[in-house]
Amino acid sequence: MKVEQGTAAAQADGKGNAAPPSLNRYAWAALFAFTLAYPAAVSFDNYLLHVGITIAFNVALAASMWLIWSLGLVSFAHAGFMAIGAYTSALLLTKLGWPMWIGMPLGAILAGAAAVAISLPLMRTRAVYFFMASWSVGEVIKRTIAYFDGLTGGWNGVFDILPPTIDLGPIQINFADRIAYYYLAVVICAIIVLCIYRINDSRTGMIHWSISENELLAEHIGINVFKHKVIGFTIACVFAAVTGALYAHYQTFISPKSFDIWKSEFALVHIIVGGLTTVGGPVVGAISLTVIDETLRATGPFRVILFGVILIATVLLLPGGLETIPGRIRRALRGRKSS
Amino acid sequence: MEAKSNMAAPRSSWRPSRRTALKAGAASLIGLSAPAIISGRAFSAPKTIKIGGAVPLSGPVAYWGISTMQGFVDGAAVINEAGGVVINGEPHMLEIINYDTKGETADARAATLRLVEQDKVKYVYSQAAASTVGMLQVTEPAGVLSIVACWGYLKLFGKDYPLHFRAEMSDYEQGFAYIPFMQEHYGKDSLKSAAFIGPDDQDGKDCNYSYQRLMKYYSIEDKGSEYFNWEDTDFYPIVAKTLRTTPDFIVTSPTPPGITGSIVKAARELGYKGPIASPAASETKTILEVVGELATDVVLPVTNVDPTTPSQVAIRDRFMKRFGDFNALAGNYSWWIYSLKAAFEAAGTADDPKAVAEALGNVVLEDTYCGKVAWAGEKSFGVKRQGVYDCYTTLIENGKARLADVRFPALPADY
Repeated sequence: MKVEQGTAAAQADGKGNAAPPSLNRYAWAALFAFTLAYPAAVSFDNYLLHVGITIAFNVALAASMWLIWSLGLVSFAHAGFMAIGAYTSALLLTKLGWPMWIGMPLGAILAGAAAVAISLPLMRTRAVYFFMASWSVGEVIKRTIAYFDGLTGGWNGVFDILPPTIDLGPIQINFADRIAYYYLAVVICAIIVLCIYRINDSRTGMIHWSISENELLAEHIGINVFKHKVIGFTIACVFAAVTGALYAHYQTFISPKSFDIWKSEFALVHIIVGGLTTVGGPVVGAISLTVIDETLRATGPFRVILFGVILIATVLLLPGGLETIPGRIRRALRGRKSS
Repeated sequence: MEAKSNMAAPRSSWRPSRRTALKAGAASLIGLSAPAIISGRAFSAPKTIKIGGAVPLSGPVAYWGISTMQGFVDGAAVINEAGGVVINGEPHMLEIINYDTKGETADARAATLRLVEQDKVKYVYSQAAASTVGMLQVTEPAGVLSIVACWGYLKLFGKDYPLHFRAEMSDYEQGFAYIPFMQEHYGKDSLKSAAFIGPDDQDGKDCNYSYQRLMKYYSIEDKGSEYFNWEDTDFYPIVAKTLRTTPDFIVTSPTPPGITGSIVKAARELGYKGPIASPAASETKTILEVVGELATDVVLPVTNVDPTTPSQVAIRDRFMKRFGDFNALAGNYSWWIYSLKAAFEAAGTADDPKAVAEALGNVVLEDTYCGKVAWAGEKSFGVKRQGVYDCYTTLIENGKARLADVRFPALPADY
C-alpha cells in the first residue's frame, strides 16, 4: 500500500501554483546535509567513519531491495547480485589491473544481464514460489563463484582489492583514505536512493504498487505486469551490483561467504523495521539497525539476543515501522491540541 | 547572655584567634595541595596494557570464541591479582576488551577497527578463519600484534606477517602426535589407509591439505575425501560413500563436536568399526550425547578431559568459579595471555609490538594447561609464529572418555 506519491502534480494547488516543498523533502535535505557534515561532526574519527560507510552500503542494499518489494516481491537473490558486482570489479582489478571505475559499471551491466536472464523464468512464479526460487538463485550464484576457484579464488576469496584512485593532474584522490571513501560511498548511495525515489515517485512507481496490490487487476487494466516486473527487478539488481563493487573495494577482501543468504535477510529486516511503504523506510531502517548493531558489539554473546529483542519490540510497538513515527507524533500533537 | 551577645556581634568585628588562623592555614594548605596529592597518586598508579578480542561471541562458532575470551579474561584477572606485568620493574595491569564478530570477515574487520582506532589497542586476539582474515586486514598494516586460532589461509601466515601468531596447533601439527599414538594403540598394520570428511569450504580444503601431507609423511594410503555443507543434518550419504572406499580409519576436520558425533553415529550404524579422529572437536560431552553407547574408538587430539597437574586443576576450578563452566578447549587457549605476559617482560616494553613479537617467538612455558608450550615453524614459515605444545589425546571407548596419551608432537626436521 503506497501512502505518499509526492508528485509535483499532486502537490500543486488548483490555481496552477506549485505547492511548497513538503516536510518530507525537508527531512531528506536535512538527512543529506547531516550526512555531508558527519565526518566533521565525529571529529574525523576513523572508526565512526567506518560505521558511516557501512551504513551507506546497508542503505543502498536495502533501498534497492525495497524497489523489488514495491512490486510485491521479496527477493533473497539480492546478495547474489551484489556478489556479481563485487566479483566483477574485484577480478578485473586483481587479474587485469582495471580500476573500479571500469569494474563497477561492467559489474552492473553483467548483473543486469544476469537479472534479465534469470527473471524471465523467475517472474512467472508468485508468492512463496518466487521467494523459494530467488533463494535458490542467490545460493547458485554464491556456489558458482566458489566452484570456479581458478578464476575466483573459490572459498578462499579474493584479496588485495585496492580502493580506487582519481588522478586528474591537479586533482588527486586516493580512496584508501577513509574520509574520501566515506564521501564516495555516500554519493553513490545517495544517487541510488534518489533514483529509486524518482522511480517510485513516477508513473512507473504507481504501476509497481498497483501490481503489488493486485497483479491480476493490474493486468486487466492494461499494465504489462511481466515487463514491469522484469525491468524493476533488473534495476534493483544493478543497484545491488554497484553496492557490491563499492563494498569489495572498501573491504579489500571478499569471499562467497560475504554474500550469503544472511546479507539478503538483513536487508529485508532493515526494510521491515524501517517501513514498507516509502523509500524512507529502508533508509531509516538501515541507518538505525546498523547503529544499534555496532553499539551492541561490546555486549558480546548478548549482541544477537538484544538485537532480536529490539527487532521484535519494534515490530510489535511500531507496526508499519520507523517511518510511521512522524505521523504518530503529528497525530499525537493534533490530539493534544484538539483536547 | 555574654555568649549570646558575642554571637550577635557584627561579622566585621570578628577577629580570629591565633589558633583559628593556624587551623585555617592548615586547611588551606591541605586544600591547595589535594590536587597534587591526587595526581601524584594517579601518577604512581600502574599503567594499563590493553588487549583486544575480535572474536565470535555469537553465531555458529561462538563456542570457540567464548572459550578464547574466557582464557584472556581469567588470565588477566590472575595476572593483575599477582601484581600485573612487570616491565623494567614497573607493574602494568592488563585490560581486556572484547567485541563480537559473529564469525564473519567483514564484522571482524569492523571489530578490529574499533579496537585499534578507538580503543588504541596494540594487541589483538581472534578465533577461526573468517574472523582472522577480517582482523588481519587491519592489524598487520597498523603494526598491531595478533594472536589467533586459525588453521587455514596459510598464505596469510609467515614472514610476510611478522606480527601474526597462530597459537593453536592446527590439525597438521596435531597429526605428529595423534597419528603416532594411533599407530601404537591400534597397531601400525591396522592403519594403512585413511579417508577424510570435512566441510565444503575453505576450512575444509585447508584441513584436507594438512591431512594429505600427514598421510604422505606417514606413508598411509589416502582413500579419498568427502565434503559436507554446514547446513547438513543428514551425514549418512557422505559417510556411506566414505565407507565404500574401506579406509582403516577416518579423519574428520574441522568438525565441531555435534557434527563429529553425527558422523561417528552414522559410521557405526553403517557397520564401520575403525577409529575416527576429529582434531577440531576438543569436547566429549556433546559427542557422547549424540552417539550414545555407539561412541567408541573416537580419537580426540588436544582434548584434556582429565586435568591432573596442580596448574590444570587450578585453571579448571577457576573457570568453573568465574564462568560456571569449563571445557577442554578453553583450557587449551588459557596459556596465550601468559605467553604474552612473558613477552612483554622479556621485551621490556608494551608500547612496541614489533619488539614484543620478537620476544614472543622465543617464549617457552613449561607448566600450562597444555603442558609445555613453545613457538615453532621457522623452517616452514620463515618465522617462529606457530604454537606447539603437549598433545593430550582423549579416547572415547564404549561410551566413556578417558585421557589416553600425552606427547609433544614429533615435528619433522624441516618444520
